[in-house]
Amino acid sequence: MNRHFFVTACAVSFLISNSAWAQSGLIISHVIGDNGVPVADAVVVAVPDGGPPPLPKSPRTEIMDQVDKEFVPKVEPILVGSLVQFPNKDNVRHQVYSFSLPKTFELPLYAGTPSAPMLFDKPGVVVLGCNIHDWMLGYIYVSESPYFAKTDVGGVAEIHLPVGAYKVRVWHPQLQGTGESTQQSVQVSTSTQLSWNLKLKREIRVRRAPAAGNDSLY
Amino acid sequence: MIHWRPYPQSLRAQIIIFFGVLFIAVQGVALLLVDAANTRNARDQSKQELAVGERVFRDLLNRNNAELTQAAELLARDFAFREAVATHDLPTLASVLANHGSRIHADLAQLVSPEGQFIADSMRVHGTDAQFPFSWLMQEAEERGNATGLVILEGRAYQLVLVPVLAPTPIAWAVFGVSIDDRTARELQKLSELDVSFLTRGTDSRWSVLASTIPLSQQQELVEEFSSHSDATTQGSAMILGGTEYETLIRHLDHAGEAPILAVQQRSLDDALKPFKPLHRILIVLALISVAASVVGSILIGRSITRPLLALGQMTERIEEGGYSQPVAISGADEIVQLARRFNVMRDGIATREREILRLAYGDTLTGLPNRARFREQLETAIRSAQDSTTPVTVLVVNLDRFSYINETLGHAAGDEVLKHVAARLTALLSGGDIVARLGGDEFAVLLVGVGTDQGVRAAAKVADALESPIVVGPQSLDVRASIGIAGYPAHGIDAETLLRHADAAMSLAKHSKQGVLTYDPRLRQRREEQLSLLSELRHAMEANELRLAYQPKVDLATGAVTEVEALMRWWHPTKGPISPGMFIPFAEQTGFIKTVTAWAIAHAAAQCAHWRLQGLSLCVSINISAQDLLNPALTSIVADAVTRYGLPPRQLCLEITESGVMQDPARAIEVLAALQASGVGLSIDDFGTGYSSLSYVKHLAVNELKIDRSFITNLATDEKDRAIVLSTIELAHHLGLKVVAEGVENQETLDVLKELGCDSVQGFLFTRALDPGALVVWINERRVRPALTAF
Repeated sequence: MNRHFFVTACAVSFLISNSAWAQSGLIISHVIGDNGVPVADAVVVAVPDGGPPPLPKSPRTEIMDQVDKEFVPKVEPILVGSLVQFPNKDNVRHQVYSFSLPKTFELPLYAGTPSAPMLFDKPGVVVLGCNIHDWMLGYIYVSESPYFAKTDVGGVAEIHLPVGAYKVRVWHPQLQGTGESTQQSVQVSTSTQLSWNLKLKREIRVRRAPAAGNDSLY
Repeated sequence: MIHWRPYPQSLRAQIIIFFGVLFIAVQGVALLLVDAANTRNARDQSKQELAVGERVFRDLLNRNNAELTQAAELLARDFAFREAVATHDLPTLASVLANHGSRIHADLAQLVSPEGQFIADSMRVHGTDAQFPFSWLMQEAEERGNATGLVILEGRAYQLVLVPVLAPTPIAWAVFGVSIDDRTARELQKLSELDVSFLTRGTDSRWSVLASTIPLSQQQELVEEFSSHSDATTQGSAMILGGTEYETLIRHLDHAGEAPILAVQQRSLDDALKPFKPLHRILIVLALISVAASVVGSILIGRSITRPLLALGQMTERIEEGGYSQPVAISGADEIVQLARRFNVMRDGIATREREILRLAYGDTLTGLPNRARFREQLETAIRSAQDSTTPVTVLVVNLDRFSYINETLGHAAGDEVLKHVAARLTALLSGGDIVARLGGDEFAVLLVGVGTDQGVRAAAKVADALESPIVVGPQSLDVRASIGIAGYPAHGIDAETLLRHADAAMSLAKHSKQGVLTYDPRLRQRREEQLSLLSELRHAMEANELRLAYQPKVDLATGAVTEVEALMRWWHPTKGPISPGMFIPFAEQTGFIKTVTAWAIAHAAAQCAHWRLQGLSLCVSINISAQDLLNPALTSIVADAVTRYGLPPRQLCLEITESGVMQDPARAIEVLAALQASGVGLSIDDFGTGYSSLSYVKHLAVNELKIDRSFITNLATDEKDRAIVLSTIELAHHLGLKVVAEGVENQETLDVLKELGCDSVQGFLFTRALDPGALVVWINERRVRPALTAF
């Protein structure tokens, strides 16, 4: 996952650096949870005050992999309008679905990679599940702004973006309340440090089943 | 008056009652103990079963919950369901809920948002935006992943299960509920074998039954129980519903803060006691049987004891009455039989002893003959049967003559032998129902049945014949004679006593008159009676001076003077007047009273003699003495006393004894006479010529005088033979130096002859009868004065 993240981060920063904006800003976000524990897999989104920039002509194709009966990465922020591939690296089939409003879909049982990647054209949170493997849980955060980043294990995310006025928010799957934190209006400079304290709910997940046997709760 | 005795005295009743009561008591106690133990057992068992059942119940509840949860989860995982929920397709949701709910037989299906708001509800009770009422369930579900709980909804109990609808994150809670109703309770009962009732208390604080397996009436009682006892809800133990006792366990199934839901699990004691019921019945039957058996057994045993006892009792009655013949035949227990045997032995012993006693009582040991008592008995029996059949009965009393002589001479052993011989001879004469008995001493009796007096005389003659031949005892050959008296029924008496007495009297008379055999004369009785009374009167007479001596003078033929007088007894009876000696002297002799009379006579005569001497009249006074007197050892001293006392010169007092009196015991007579003479008295032989004396005896008799018996004197004047006898007697006497007195001179002729023959003195009515002393003196004086009056 780190590798993907790194690649993505490089790609994004490369793109941004090749953009028209000459000055690059940086938002370094620190996301802390209960008891000062850093929060990973939090998505920090910065939306320019003037509105998000136009979408690239050719949409990007992101990957939401299924490895060892898990969604990898667990949280994947993408730009709205991107395509997402769902390769299946497992030797078992998966039936990926989501009932989330931004994208309600169901990929029938498949192995390998389904033929066409999916277009996520609405911003929002898309929760992914597998019909066969109840514990499989994945999040695709469709951001309307291209300026987003996911926190690492240390709870830190860096967003390179042109300086300006932004509204920055954080999203985490276990975020209590509406799921989104309050926005912060931030004047992004070359290095803006932001921090969030999040109150997180407990994650309710189905336990991974052993090879044979019934599912049971905690 | 009826005495009610609290305790029966009969052995049989005691045995029956005792054993009956004992068995009843034992069985009763056993039953009670068994019952108590069973009940305790049943209770304990019920408690145990209750505990076990309770665990089963709990297990069942948990399993039901688990199944329900599982089913619910399965439902909640259904993709279509999740899709419907996720897409908020409410109509679809409702039907899906209903459909899926019915799949798992849920009575209610609801969908609740994660915030607790109803999304859908099959009960349609809650309006939209209503809040799920059991937030604690949701909290638990959030923590644990699912939750179950028992809740009250709309007055009914539901087992609710909350499962998350994951898509894949929880998007809703699916709530399924199964109502707890009687069917549920019954299913629980089937598996746990416990009666279960679910109760709740509503907002009005009244308990109500949600579901139950017990009958309706008992449910009401249960409600009342809880209503009245607030602590009943917390404690479980024994409860009585509808008359049945239940072991109870109460479990709170509700969630804290919610309406109380109680699961009242009960185990009826009756059910627990059911398997014991047959045992109980069997025990009762056994008890009844054993009591009956004991009663019957004790009756039989009692009978086996009391019947022999009664038989033995009857036997003792018979023995008491004298019936020894029948042995008692008793069967039964060993002890009883042994006792009966001992009884029989005892009975035999008693019979033997009684026979022995009878034998001794009724038998004469020496001769083996029946004794007097037995004879009396037999006689009475014979008389009784004679009364019925008018056959005569005759009694002979046989008395051996001079038996004492044999005893004294030859000894008692010889005497016994003689008696035995006599007994044998008498017995040999018997025939038919005749009996010979020994009355005692030397006296026998013979009972002749069917024999009249004449025949009796002949029988007596036979007896006398039987004794004719001498009885040989050792070297001695003895002539034994008997005097026999005869008395017959009914002529001489109508009872045994009288017959015996009269026969005895006849025998006595026969003996004294030496007649051998005499039949009783009724006149004897009179005489005997007279004589009996006479005896006592005689005694009285002696004391009362009714006895007198009268004196008859003896006149000397040569001189005509009176120098001697004979004292004769006179009895002046106050009422009967003068009683002649012939009336009482023989009787006195028979009874031995003569000795007393003679002693009296001697004393009085001596006194009179002394008195006359004082008056200047010297007369020799003669007193008659009997053979008994002669044999009386005291005679000599009596005479000597009299002589000494009155100071009589020798020969002033004289004793006259008849010749036959002497001859009774001549040897002795000689001795006594010699002694008497030595003591200074004169002696005369009276009634000489009639006493069968041998002259050799006469030679030795120390007498002074012979008195010729009047039988020779009466006809002396005319009878030549008398004259010859008298003459020779006078000569004999004179030659022996004895004086001769003639008695019974009544006429002058006789007197002349006597004078001619040389008699010394005379005595008789010619001169005077016996006179009183005073009269005698007068007579003597007159004779002196006028001697011519008396012929000479």
